[in-house]
Amino acid sequence: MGSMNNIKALIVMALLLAPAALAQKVVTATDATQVTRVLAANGYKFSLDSENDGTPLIRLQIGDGYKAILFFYDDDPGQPGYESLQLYAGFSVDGKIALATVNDWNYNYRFGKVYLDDELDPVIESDLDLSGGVALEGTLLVFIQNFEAAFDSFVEEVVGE
Amino acid sequence: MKNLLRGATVLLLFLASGALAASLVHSTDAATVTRLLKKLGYRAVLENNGTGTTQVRVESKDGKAFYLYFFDDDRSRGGYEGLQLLSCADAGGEFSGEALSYWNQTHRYAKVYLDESGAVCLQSDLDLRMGVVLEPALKQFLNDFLESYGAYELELVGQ
Repeated sequence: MGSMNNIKALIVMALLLAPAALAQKVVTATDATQVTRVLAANGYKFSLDSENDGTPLIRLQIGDGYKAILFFYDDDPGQPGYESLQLYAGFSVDGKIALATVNDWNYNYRFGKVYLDDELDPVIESDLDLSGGVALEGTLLVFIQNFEAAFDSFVEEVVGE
Repeated sequence: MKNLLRGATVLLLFLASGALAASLVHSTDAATVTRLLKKLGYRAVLENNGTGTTQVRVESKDGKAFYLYFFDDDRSRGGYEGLQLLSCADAGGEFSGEALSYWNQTHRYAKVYLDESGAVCLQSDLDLRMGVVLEPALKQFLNDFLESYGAYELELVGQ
């Protein structure tokens, strides 16, 4: 009888702990399968592609139909998946973007950075290092939300659309 | 019966390890961060700049000095949801916009810009709302910043 009570107590404790363990799964790396699952579950439009060397990349729709690219970096052979992500969006512009405008954006906004690429076209990027341990779904959603907010100001203040 | 008991125990230990390992935070406070910085081997001095804003003056073992600022004070969570690492150096009017843009193109996890006083600044931000394990996340945040700091010193400030 004592053993049966012990089992019951253990089962109750397991049931209490299960939701916390599942909801707060911490990762230090991720892959395209996990990321696309989160994107799909949260209503994002995207397509999975790959770079020439086979590294996955995701073309993600943000804002009013704009496209960003989600890159995977730091493929640690010691563990499955990629330890960092980068969101990237660039514009091809006819006119010249003033470097002072780029500097002002970088001074005024926190999450993301802007630069002019080799063709002097404006680019916005944001990097995320997973290797310290994060809750994947929440992290991805906040990462994308911050990028979308930064992107809106980038389009308005730097690109001038 | 013994097998059932053993199985339930294993399940409990498995779930408990998952729950305990995932001690996620979505905000933090200055005292906690200062304590962790010291634990990680940094000199950390908590300062109040007189306007009620708290900041931590940080120095790494190899003498790199910078500030850690707190943002997004969420009273419902009892802490700050955003951290920022910042170091600025007098540029003396020496830095071109091209050089800063190129630096931003070629480095990750931090950005550089000229502030209103003309100082060239290195900045990195961490949003805790996403849910992080605080100590290793802070450690990695600092490691990434210090790696950028090395390039900032070598390629910009040290010129």
